[in-house]
Amino acid sequence: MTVGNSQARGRGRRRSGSGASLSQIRGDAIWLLLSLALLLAAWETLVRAAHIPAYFLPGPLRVGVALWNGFWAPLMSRQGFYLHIFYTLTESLAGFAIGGSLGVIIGTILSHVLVLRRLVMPYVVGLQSLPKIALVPLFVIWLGFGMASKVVTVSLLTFFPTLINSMAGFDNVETDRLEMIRSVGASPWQIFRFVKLPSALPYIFAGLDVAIVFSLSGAVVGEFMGAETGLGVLILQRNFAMDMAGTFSTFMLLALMGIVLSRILRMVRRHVLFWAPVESRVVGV
Amino acid sequence: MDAQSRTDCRCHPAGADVTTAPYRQWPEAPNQLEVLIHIESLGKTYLTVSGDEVVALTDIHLVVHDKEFVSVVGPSGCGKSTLLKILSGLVSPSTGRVRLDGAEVTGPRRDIGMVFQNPVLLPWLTVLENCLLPARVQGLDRQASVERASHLIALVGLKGFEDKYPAELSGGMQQRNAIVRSLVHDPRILLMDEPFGALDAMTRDVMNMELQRIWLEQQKTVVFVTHSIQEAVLLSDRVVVLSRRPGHLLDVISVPFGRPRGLEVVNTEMFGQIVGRIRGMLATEGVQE
Repeated sequence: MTVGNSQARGRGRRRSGSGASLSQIRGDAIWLLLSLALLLAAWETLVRAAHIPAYFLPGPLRVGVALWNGFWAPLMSRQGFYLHIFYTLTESLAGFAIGGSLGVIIGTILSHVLVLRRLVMPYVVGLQSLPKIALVPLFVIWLGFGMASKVVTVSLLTFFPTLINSMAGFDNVETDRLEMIRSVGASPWQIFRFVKLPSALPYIFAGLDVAIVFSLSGAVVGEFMGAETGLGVLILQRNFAMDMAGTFSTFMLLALMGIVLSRILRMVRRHVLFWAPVESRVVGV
Repeated sequence: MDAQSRTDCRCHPAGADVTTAPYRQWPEAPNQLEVLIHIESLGKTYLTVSGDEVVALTDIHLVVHDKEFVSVVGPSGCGKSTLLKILSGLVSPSTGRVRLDGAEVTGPRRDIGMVFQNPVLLPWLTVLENCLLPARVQGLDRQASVERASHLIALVGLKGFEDKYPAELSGGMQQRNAIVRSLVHDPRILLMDEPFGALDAMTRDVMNMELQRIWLEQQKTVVFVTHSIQEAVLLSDRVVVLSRRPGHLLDVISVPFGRPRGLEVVNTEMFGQIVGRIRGMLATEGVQE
């Protein structure tokens, strides 16, 4: 019965609009803050009690100061966060948009054209087994130090989970539903639109959920390999300068960005897939 | 009785005599003798994954009259559902053919409504939208379809649930929703594949009576597959008895009760006799194999 309950909850949320969904987020936020406070307190205590030097492991207070400085800096300052956030976020989202849409579109095509699927799948499996990060230096050589090489990296990283999950979604459409829609004389397009696509959406969203997390990693790793601006660059510079508090503050910022991005995606999912109780997930990396 | 039906079956290898045998009408019946569905020497052989041939149905001859309620009973795996899927055009026969109002069935048709064992509702659509799905697929006028759906929703007792989602309905209500969906495009023929098989006995009784009411009001031709002999006899004008796999026609039995029938028919002696006869037929068949 849990299935029915959670479905009913999802619908209730949808009907009463954003109010209910905000209170849900608020509830999550309280727990997040509580666990964060506990962790920080333990960390600060450890650092102080053990006299760990700041260049080795900074306490949360120092990291907090570094965070403050990063956000307090002028908008376009290279010492502040904003410019770097803009670059990393743009690379992530552009790559996510490209990789995600290509994953869904190509996944849809491969699920429907068996010949193509047979021809292409060996390469998909091959590429999927390859650590895609290994290709980043190549992209930097081909596309330069600018955003393009990072966008391609992120696209590649987000493409596969979306592709694999989309294909799983279309492969797992209930035959009952297909027979039902076919029995009233639906055309192939109507079968796709009324039954196949909605049935595959839970899988597609599961793929996007994995992809959104990959998108930030992809951008940062891309920046490690060579870039002028971005949070990856900031981490490297501060690391070289032994500014551990600064490095840690950037980690935190990245974690925060990751959380916010996947929260947004989940809100979209809840709205679109109010009817699908459990997250079906096939992780394809 | 058992031996009798067994010989019956042997005497009519082609089944033609059985199906065209004098059709007993009840007194107030409308003119039902116009033949709507012709099933001619129908057979279906499946190929399994390992390459073996499985004969699901062989040599079925049957006619179904306009506005008639015909049930198909038989042991599980006898090809009842296959027969229904062939009638609907979802599956093509290996031998023989089905003619519907003279035209051969080659694929899904718009004048057929289907009810499956599971309701098969789309969870992202409301009750009303689920009901309207065939109308949308077939591009029927929205306004007229909504009116028709509303009438049917009231007829099956789902009024007030139009904006609910399927997950908020009980199993019986979901199946009512599926029945409305099968009727919304005003098909001539309603094909039902064990529609109440998943329901508990009490809900099933209620649904049987409702189905009779809907059938009397909507004047459809119904082919109803079930594994319950009582249900078949209670609802049908004629009961088609299939043998176990490979399914062939054992007999077609007319049910002489008038309409509308109440559940109390079940307690009459004649009801018991008819059920007993069919059961005997199937039991003999079981020993034989």
